[in-house]
Amino acid sequence: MAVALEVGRETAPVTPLGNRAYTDPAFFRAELDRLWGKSWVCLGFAHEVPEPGHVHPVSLGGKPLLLVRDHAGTLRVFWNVCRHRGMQLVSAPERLAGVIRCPYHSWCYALEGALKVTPHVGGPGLNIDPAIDRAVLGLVPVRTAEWLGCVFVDLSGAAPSFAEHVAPLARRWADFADRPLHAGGTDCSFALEVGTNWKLAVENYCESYHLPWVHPGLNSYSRLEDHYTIIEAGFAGQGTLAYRPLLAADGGRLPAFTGLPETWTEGAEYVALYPNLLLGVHKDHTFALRLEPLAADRTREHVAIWFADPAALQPQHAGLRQRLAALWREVFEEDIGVVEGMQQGRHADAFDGGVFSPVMDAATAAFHGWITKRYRETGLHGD
Amino acid sequence: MAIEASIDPTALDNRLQRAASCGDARDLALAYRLAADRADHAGRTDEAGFFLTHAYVWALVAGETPLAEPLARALRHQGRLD
Repeated sequence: MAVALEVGRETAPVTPLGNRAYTDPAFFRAELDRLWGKSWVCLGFAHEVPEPGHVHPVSLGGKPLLLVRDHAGTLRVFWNVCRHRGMQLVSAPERLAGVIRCPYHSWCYALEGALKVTPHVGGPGLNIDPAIDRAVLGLVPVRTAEWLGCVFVDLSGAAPSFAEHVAPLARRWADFADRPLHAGGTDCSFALEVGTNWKLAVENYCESYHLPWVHPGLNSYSRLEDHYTIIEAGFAGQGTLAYRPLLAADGGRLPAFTGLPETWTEGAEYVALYPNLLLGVHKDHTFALRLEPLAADRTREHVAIWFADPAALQPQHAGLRQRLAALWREVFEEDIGVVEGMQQGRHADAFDGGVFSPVMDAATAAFHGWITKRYRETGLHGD
Repeated sequence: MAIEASIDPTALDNRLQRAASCGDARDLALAYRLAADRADHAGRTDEAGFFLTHAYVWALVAGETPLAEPLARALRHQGRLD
């Protein structure tokens, strides 16, 4: 487990993003198109479509997409729109026995995407027309990948491979990446809607500087000096050397991954995989917080927890699972005040982007460095 | 396809409405198949094709391949599906 302390001193100076990058609706739309639309981004969690036939509509900055588990069990993502008149196909999660039927004119699509039937398209009772070629009118697929229980998409289809995208973090977390994870279910999933730009949620998650002030409950066992900064290509965050699993009243605990190196006995790491996935790994569970941008000043946070062993999902561990979910919920809710406060602060004409402590804000600076480079590549200016 | 001309039109209409309100795709497919049979028996070919189309759509929605395949064959036989 590499430790990168004070790495900010070794990096090139980064100019903080200006207020407009957080507050301007036009900038937000451009950012969605040019940055989110051309990168691998997290769209959802694989357990949201657990069984064949499950479909789960998802919005990515207002763009309608559909997670599908086809009848053969393959996870797919399509644009959630009928090829006929642009009707949204699925409006709520459900399990389909057969095809996806457009609620407007009942054009039907196989879960693999093929257009199966176009009823009455050539007139009443005539389901063919020379102008309508079903073979080229299937659902439009989106380039998709799955990793650590999370579903990623590249809307452009032109980003570097997902393997390349995730390689640095996959190497760092090789102890976790290829293991089966066991989703905690509804009592370990929740969503929070926050009045902030998505980038402030990333920035706050990356650094440990705020922990003793915003999360005072951590001070008794997870002191600031127990944390270290993580900065690598494509992600940044923090680690702790003082992770303590929850204990039940009888001393019981959630089962841990087997065969982990000793470094994880009291270690845990928390990183933001750019742009929108905040991850945490521990010896007994992992979690993900997916940022869904709603507006320049609104973000929905989707949280899910996975366990190391299916035994953790048994009824005897329900209390620990619920306490764990409540703990993370409390931590993420404690962060709301500061990310909303920073959002408000970015309406101050006098604020010029602020400054970075080379020691304590290195991860935040690294994120700004990454996003500034992406802005430059796509013709956006965030200053 | 079997011809079930004897079905009472009011009963058929009630069945269709019940299946629609329940969102029961299989029952909708079966009810529309009956409607198609009835229209076909009366020589109302276009009406039969209309109902047959609905039966096929709902059989696909229900994921009932054994129900959908004969309907597709009938539609193809009539030139209503390729």
